[in-house]
Amino acid sequence: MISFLLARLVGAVVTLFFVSALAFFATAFAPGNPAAVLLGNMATPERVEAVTRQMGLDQPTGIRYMIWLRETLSGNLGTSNLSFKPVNDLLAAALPATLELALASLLVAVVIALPLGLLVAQHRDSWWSRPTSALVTLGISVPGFWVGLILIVTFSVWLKLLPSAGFVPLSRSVAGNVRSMILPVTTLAIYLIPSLVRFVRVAAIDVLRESYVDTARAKGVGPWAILLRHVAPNTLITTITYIGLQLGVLISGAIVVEVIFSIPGIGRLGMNAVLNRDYPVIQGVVLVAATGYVAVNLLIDIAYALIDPRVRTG
Amino acid sequence: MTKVLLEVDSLTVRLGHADSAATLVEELSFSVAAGEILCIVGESGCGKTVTARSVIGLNRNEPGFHTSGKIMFDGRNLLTLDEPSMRRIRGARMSMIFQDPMSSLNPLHRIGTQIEESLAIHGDLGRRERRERTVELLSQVGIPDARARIDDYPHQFSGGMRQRAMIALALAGNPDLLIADEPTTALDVTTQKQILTLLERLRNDYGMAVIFITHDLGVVAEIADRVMVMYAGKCVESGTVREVFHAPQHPYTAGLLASIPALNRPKLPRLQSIRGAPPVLSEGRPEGCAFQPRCAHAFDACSTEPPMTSTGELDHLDRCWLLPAQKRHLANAMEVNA
Ligand SMILES: Nc1ncnc2c1ncn2[C@@H]1O[C@H](COP(=O)(O)OP(=O)(O)OP(=O)(O)O)[C@@H](O)[C@H]1O
Ligand SMILES: [Mg+2]
Repeated sequence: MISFLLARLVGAVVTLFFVSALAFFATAFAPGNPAAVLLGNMATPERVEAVTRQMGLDQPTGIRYMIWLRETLSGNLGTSNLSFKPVNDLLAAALPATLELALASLLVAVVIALPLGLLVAQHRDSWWSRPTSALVTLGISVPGFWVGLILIVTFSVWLKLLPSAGFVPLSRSVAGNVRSMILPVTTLAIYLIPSLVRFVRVAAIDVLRESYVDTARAKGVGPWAILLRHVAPNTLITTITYIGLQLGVLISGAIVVEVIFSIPGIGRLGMNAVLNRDYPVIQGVVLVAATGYVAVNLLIDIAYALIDPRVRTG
Repeated sequence: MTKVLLEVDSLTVRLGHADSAATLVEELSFSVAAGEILCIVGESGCGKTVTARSVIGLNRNEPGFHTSGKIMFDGRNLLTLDEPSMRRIRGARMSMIFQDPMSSLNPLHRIGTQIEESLAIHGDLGRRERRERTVELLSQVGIPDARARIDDYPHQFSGGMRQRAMIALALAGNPDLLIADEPTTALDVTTQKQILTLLERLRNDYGMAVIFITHDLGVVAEIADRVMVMYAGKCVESGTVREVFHAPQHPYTAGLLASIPALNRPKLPRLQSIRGAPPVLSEGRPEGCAFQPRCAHAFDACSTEPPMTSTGELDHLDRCWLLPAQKRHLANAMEVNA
């Protein structure tokens, strides 16, 4: 168990190292001079050259990478080319909103999709199972932002119940924060739920065909106990893996939702940075996203070991 | 004769919808007496598993299965029994073990927990007593150092030990009937032998009846009191092991027996070696006797389905149009071959 987790930890560090290198070189080799972007169309060539030197952009790429790596490892991600604020501060300001959005949406999605998928699987022959599955499939083909726009029109334009934009930090007002997050979280959860339900349904049907489910039936276990004690835990194993693989979908979905609802999160920060060639911020955002990805996968491995004795003791 | 425990009468199992339904088991009738071991033999796909699952009611809730006939157990027809009452029978009065011990235990639960779950459903033992009883059951089926192994997970057990644990689980409710669907097929020869000995011992100690499904006629010779030979979803011959093995009445049974070099040799090959293959039941059954296309003795009459007839010997039935004299010849021919 310990050695299993240590191996995963080493893997995580190696992954992060490569992602950081990728983040640096992708921006370093991108066309266009950040100094020129920064100074705008009116700048003289001499001025551009001076700023280029000032930003250290005239150095060979290898040396710039070593400097960047040293600074990054010591926790300094540089300054924004745009606002001249430290990237660290920008990320720290944007992170809570994104974390809240992503985690709350994932939680809502799992809490709804897991029981729904299990039920649809258990009652796969009843009259309501097929229409439900069809509805879910329909949900997969509807783009996530479309749902968001419908929600905005319904709940803030027509009913004037919820704000359509703006984010209230938890630290300022809990009630305000919840109010401002209901629509974004709903949008992102609705975006995640259909494919999750479909996956859980297929996984649970596989588990229901397993011989140990027959064993449970043959010893007189009732249908609910079979679903909860035998089918659900075994379905969870594959579902957790699937959630890990879907993390990219969660991140890209979060970016779209942040932009729609004007939430000052990592996604919007990254979006603006890309539009303005603000390379230090781009690198910071990529690093944060990658760290989140790696951390979640580490959590998934731990969850694995907790659920599955074959991983723990095998 | 001892008391009849299970009486299956004209069991018919169809799978699928209305006119496209395939008949997997047709008009099957047999009975099991208390304390008796009945072996069901037949080639792959002849409906042995479907029969067993119908008896314990595992496919009554499966989509597409339609079961008719009667399954009388202890004076009640299980086919018309409601699900809650059926659940009180499963695991308590009747239990089942499966072919593959690698997949028939839940990989996420401890061995002990899985046995205790059955004890909790069917008895009124407290937590501690359940655990004690579980240790007792595990030792009874020959798990060495059961108290130390009770908290193991299935993957920490070998195949043979898992099948023993499955048997312990099946015994938890003190059943009157144990259904074993090829319980030794996935095991090596030595383990196979041990499991057979164990089942026989449990039958002798507890007077529990066993329906034992197998491909292996050697196993039948070893443990069965009576045997039922199935072909294409029907019973083609049944009787005591002695009767059926020494005087097979159906060419199919004779063929199965002839493919074994000698019954008293320790190592026996799996049955087969009758030319051709059985009909695929999902594609509909042929007219008349289903074995006719493969039968060396087929004649005009075989294009209509033969009824079950008695040989006159106690309980020895078969489904074949040949005349009694010709059937006697089958047995003789087999002995010459052997
Ligand atoms: N759930 C199912 N869905 C579709 N067909 C089935 C199902 N269960 C059984 N069958 C079909 O019913 C027929 C009888 O199957 P069954 O499993 O009872 O055979 P068997 O005698 O146990 O064979 P084996 O010796 O291979 O275990 C086969 O043709 C099989 O394909
Ligand atoms: Mg079978």
